[in-house]
Amino acid sequence: MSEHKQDQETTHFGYETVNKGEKAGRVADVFHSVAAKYDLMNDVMSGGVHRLWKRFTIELSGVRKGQKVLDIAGGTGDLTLKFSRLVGPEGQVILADINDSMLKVGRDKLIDKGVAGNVQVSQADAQYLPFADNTFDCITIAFGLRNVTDKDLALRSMLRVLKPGGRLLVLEFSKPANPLLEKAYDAYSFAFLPTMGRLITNDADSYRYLAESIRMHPDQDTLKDMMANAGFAACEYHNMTGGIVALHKGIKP
Amino acid sequence: MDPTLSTAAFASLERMINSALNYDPASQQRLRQLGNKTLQVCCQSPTITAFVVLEEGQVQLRQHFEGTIDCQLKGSAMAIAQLGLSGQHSLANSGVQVFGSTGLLVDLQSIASDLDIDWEEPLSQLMGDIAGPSLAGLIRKGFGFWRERESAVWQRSGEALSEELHATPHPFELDDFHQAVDNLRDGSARLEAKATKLKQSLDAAIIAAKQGNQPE
Repeated sequence: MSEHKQDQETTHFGYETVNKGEKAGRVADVFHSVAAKYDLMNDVMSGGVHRLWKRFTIELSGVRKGQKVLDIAGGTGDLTLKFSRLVGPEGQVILADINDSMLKVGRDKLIDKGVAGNVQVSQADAQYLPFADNTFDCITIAFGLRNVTDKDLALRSMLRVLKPGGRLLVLEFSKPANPLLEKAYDAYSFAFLPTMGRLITNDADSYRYLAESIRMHPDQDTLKDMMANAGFAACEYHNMTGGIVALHKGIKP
Repeated sequence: MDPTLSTAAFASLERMINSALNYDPASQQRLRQLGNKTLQVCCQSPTITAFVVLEEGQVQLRQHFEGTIDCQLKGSAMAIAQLGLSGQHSLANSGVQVFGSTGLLVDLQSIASDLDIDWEEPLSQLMGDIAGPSLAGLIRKGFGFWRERESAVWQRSGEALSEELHATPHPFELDDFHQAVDNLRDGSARLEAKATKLKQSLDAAIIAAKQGNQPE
């Protein structure tokens, strides 16, 4: 097998190099393991700041009443909950995730909060979205893209199902702009996160994968270029919390 | 500014406003009656843009908004804050520019100045049914006393300035002056209308005379 062909058939799972076919299953195992305490861990790991990142994403979405929104890798439904109020009864929100454990937690949470009628749940792979062309006014993927095996394929799939003029918002961990912050963040990620994971979910490995997968994810400018290459126009990003997280936005021309 | 910080500030302020409104049902009802409206506040120093979105009696504070804006305020942070706190309705010399519906601004200003929070409910939840209402009563009396003193200070300062020192005109004199200005404006408008009408009649007469003198 040539080296080039081997590159094409492997991908990253944290710092490990694995076959492309293997990554989805291993990512699924991570999320099956953490689903039940996902929300609690998000609050512990970020000190609640993930709510501010998501609030900013909602503001930039510009979603209005009657629109159709797809929340990919929506997990426990934080964004879906907000979108369902914004689109109103005449709009529609699809909560999509490849992982059924996460979807179950998300669906139960939405029902408990009285959200029904304009929300549908779909188990879907971001690379092969099972929706018609030009369906959605807005697509969001929050903390999900780095877990996707083929990110370019996923971005093209999102472009296909967006309506012309519709927007994609990618909220994802990124590269801190300040070297000092980066060092502190590295220490926090590789020491604190796995420890907290072991204490709360009895699973240190999943949170070690989280820290590693963030380091392997493309930085702000690379992701912006990937979006432009996939066919999105007016691509831009906003660094948040010193670049620990970035929100990328692109419009379907 | 990092969006995380600005979002945190907006979220905290929004929470504070809506909590206050929850304990003043009358103000919340007045806000609900305004319907779904949006006020854009463009602060020029420091440069901050905020959108105050009113929806179903609740206030949302946003940094980005893409819908219809009913009223836009422009000015420095100090000027905008002074306008909001002073309760004055005139924008003259305020350093604030307003575009769009000024009625919305007046309504919001009125709701803010009439806000009367019922402290009993939150304090009773926090401290119980005996200590809560007692403390709420003390707070209400304190606010009442403070408002009364503030109003008295303004009134007496005004009286001292106009009646003792004669440094400023008395409000009645000012009202008379405003009335005189209004009468003058109305009178000049009437005169202008009469002059226009006279000119039109004169022009018509000249044209008729010219047509009458033309040889057949």
